[in-house]
Parts: sequence; C-alpha cells; structure tokens
Amino acid sequence: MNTLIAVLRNPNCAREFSPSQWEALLGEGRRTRMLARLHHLLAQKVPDLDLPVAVRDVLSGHARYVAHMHVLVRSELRRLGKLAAQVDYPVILLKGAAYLMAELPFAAGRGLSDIDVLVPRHALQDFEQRLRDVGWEFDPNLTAYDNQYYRQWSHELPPMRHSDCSLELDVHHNLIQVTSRSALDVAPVIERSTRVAGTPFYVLAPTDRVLHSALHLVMSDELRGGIRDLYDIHAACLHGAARDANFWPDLLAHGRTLGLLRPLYYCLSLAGDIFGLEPPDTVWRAVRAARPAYPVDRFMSTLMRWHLVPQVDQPWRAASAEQLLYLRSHWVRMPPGLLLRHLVRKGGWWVRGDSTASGGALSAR
Amino acid sequence: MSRRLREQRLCFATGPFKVRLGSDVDSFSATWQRSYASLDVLPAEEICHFRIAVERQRGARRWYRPQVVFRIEGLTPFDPYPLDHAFPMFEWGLNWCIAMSAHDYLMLHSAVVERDGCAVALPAQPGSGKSTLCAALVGRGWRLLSDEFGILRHADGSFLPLPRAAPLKNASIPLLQNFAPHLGFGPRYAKTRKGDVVHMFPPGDSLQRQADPARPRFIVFPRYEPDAVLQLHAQPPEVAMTRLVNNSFNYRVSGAQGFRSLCGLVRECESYQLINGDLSEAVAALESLLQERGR
Repeated sequence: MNTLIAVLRNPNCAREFSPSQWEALLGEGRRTRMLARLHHLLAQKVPDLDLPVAVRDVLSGHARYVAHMHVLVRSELRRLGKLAAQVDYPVILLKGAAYLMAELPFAAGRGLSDIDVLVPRHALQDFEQRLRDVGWEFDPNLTAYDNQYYRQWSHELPPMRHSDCSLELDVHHNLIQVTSRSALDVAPVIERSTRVAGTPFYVLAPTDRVLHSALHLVMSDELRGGIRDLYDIHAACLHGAARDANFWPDLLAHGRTLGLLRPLYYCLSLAGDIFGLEPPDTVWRAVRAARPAYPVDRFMSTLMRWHLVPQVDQPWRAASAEQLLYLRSHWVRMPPGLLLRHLVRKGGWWVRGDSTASGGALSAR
Repeated sequence: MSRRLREQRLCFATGPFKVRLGSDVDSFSATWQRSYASLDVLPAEEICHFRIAVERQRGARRWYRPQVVFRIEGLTPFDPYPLDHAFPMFEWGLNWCIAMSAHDYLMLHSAVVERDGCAVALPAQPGSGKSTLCAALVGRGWRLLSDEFGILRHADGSFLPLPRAAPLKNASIPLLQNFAPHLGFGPRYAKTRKGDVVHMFPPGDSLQRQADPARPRFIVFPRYEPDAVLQLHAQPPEVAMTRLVNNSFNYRVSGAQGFRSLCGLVRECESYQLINGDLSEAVAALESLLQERGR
C-alpha cells in the first residue's frame, strides 16, 4: 500500500517511480478502487509527467468508466429532482451523489454504484410511497426477515431499484443503525443541511459530511476500499477548512453534540498518520480527549491500520483485522439480544467462509 | 518459461495490452505454452497492464476435488473452477479484465479476421456461429485478429488485433477439426458453463503480427441456422449502426467518441447479414465477397 499512499500524499513522488513501483501502484489502486481517482490526481498535480503506457491506459480506462457512472447518476438525479421538488421536507443527498451535486473537487474519479438519500423519519413513508408511484421497487426476493430487519432495526429502507435505471437507491432516515449503542439524534444534522443552489436537493453541512464519513468508516461492515473512504475524509477536511475559518471548531462542536467524537478521533488520527492531516492543536487536543482507554485505543488503531494499509508480506494481519472489525461492526450496531437473534438467523458465515467476500452474509443485504 | 510462470515473472503482450502471468498449475502452463508458442516473451521488468495469477485453491480444496482460482492484482472476482479447467478460466478471466478496463477503445463483441489488407468484423451474439466461422476462415489462411473482441481505435478507426485461443463449443469441435485439421487444437474441456470446449490455438503468423492494425472493410453479421440455404443480404449503414450499438461492450461508456467511431466504421464498411447452414458455403461466400468487392 506504500506507493498508493505516497502518491496520495505527494503526487510528485511518482516522478521517481521504478517499473515495479508503477506496477504496485496499479495493484493497490485496483484493490482499493482508486484507479480513476489516481488518473485525475496525477493529471491535475503532475500534468507534465509522461505516464508509462500501461499505467496511462489502465488509469484512463477506469476514469472513463467512472465518468460514465457520473453521467448516469446525474441523469437519475434529474428525475429524482422532480420528486424532491414536490415535497415540503428536505431530500438530502449523501456520499458520492452529494459530492457530485455539490461539485466538490474530490468527486472527480470517485466511483459510485448507488444513490444514497436521507429524509426525516416522519417523511419516510410519504417519500417511499412517492418513489413507488414512479416505479421504484424493492427486490422481489427480499425475505420477510430481511424486510423486517430493515424496517425495524436499520437506518434505511431495503435498497430500491427502477427498471429504467442501473443504479440502486438507498433511502435513509438516519446516519446510523437505530439499534446502535451510540444512537444518533439526526435532527440537528437535517437542520444544518443546505440546499444546493439551482437544484431541489440538500446536502449535509461540510462538518456533518466528515462526521458521517467517519461514522461510516468506523462502524460499517462494508470494509473494502476503506483507504478510499479515509482519503475522502482527509480531502473533505482540507476542503472544508480552506472555505471556512470556523470549519475545525464547528467540526469539534458538532461531533461533541452528536456524540461522534470517538469515530472522529479514530479517523483524524489515522488520516494524520497516513496522509499527514493536521487539525489545529486546540481542536486535536479536544478530539483526542475522547479516545478510549489506552489498550482499547492501541488495539483499535492497530486493527484499522492493518486493515487500511495491508502489507503484502503479512496478509494474515489484514485478514484477521477484517474479521475482527467486521464482528465489531455488528457488535456496536446491535444490542446483544438482537445480535444473537440475527446471528442465528444469518449464521453459518464462518462455515461458508464468505464473511468478507461481498458486504458480508451477516448483514441483511 | 515454466520457471518464469511459477515465479510470476512471465510478461507477454496480447494486442495492445501487457500481462504479467504466474501459475503453479503445470497442466495450465503446458497448454498456455502450446497455445502461445510463437509469442515473444517480454523482459520481466516491463510495466504490465494486468498482473494475473492462475493458482491452485489452498486449504482442503488443494487435495479434495482440487480447484483453481483466477486472481487479478490479488483479487478473486470469480468463483473457482475445477483444477483441470484452468486454461478456459484464464482465457475467460483475461477477457473480463480487458472488457472492464479498456475503455479507451470501442469494444465490439465481434470476431475480426483479415486478408489482403481487408478486415472483416463478424459481430454476433453467443450461439450464432461466430467463433466457428472465424476459426474456419483462419483455417483457410485468413489472419486472426480476435475471436471475441473487435477493438476499434478511436484515433484512426482501425481494428487492433487481440489474437487469443478461440473456444469452440460442442458440435463445432469435430466440424472444425475436420475442416481445418492443420490448425492447433487444445485439450477437450468437458461440461464447462458452455458445454464441451476445445480451443483453436492462434496461428503463429497471427501472433507475430499482433501489433499490426487492420483497416475495416466488411461487417458481416453471421447467423447459423441448421439446414438453412445460404443468404447474404446487404444491410443499410443505419441498420448496421443500430445493431453494433447493441453489440458493443462499452458503447455508452464511450460517449460521443463511441458514436463518432461507429459512424465512421459503418461508413467505411459494407455491411451484410449472413445466414448459413453449411460452414464451407459460408466460407466460400466470404471469400468471393472479398475477391469481388475487396480493395
């Protein structure tokens, strides 16, 4: 993972790359789904550098594909926009779709295969009905248990699909599973969201965008491509701080009121280690105060590092870190009784050995 | 070469792409070397597009009903195959890697062959006899550009070769082995997803000339129908265009450039629908088409 991180930190270092480092970069970029991102980064930061033919081909091929996905997302958002314009509650775009709509610089080359939106809980039923009226539907093979899992315990509806659209739509009413120990009052987040000029959509405030990504990185069971998400957080912090002098103090304040300082601590500390992110001292000291007891802190940070920055010569580290983080993601999202029921229901993943293959057998999806 | 394969140091070019290949499966190495005997091996320090490994599944499956996995950059995008199907898995997996990444080209789902400087594209759905017809033409001395990919370069509208082993299925196998017994054929793989498969190996000349593009001259949409009387109908360019849009792997991804390149292709070419029930007749029809209307 060393060449990828080196390029993300300082694209100029690619000037000195040996053939084997270029090949390593292609491998790391593919494993983390960052090939298209690398294409844009290198084109922007070292435009005069002649890439080796194979590197240029692979990066630009993937960049074209991602650009095509962006076209699909934009055209789907135009259709969803008609719906969003008719309702009297905010329809908030999350993650990739939000970066695109808000035209954030780090949207370039960021792959996405679904559209995530957030609506207030009281509006969920209305929004779901409106979507169904225009042809969005749930997977007909969704089991009764999975449906119940989403409706009762999850922070989103089951994924929806439309016959005219290759993208999946995830409708959220919270940023985190409602059964989580660190259950979140999402009202202030919705309150702070802002409308994207010229569109009917809202996006999260820059601080909440970082907090949401941090929450996602630390709690999610979708582990693959974690370094990409960490880089999003890093880029979103730099972008936020460059636009708004109050970004860092606001991030601290919002993280505190939402009870998200712990995930924020993990992410800022990792982004500092890996990408050299430097929050102002006062902010960092206050965030750092939210770290867990020393052994827990060491354990979690090491696990996440092993997972985010796997070393080729020690594959067992990444593998065991993934297993443990995957289990933890379930542990923190469900109280023990519910988790036990869920395990019994979805169990057998260790027999099939597919726990990390594709989003995981433990989660309802 | 076997040692290079075991050490993941075997670099080779296939058309415009370079591959670094490793394998610990001896039967695979042997078949690969027979199929690509005329390829030049590249220096190990070459920077390659794809790093691919075809490896025995570890754990219990190494011994009990052994399996093989296809890895690209250490990732395993597919379920394992039975160990003795390693070669078809490699061919299919590398095609997948190319189809997912080579968006700087317009990729048609088409065989392409060439003779006297005229490339003929044979775009078709699976089951239409595309591979069979392609292999038969190659048996008659046409140059194989590709059995699967019509790789169209946007810059000049020419087809780039991607000469690879061409999988023949079921009844096509004995048909081709009788029609062109001088071609190289691989072992029989029974009961794959597509039935029984035998590969026609790419002729040495096609491999040697894999860096030479070819100008498109004819687009022929083949359709095999048992006992059908041979028919060769001209297709208007707008019909050919529509059919090629639906036949392309990445027409939509290619955007406006894809549209322009396809327009250029159907303007430059004569297009035909070929319905045939007999392989020799179809080959004869294409040979006389080339003689009468080639350049």
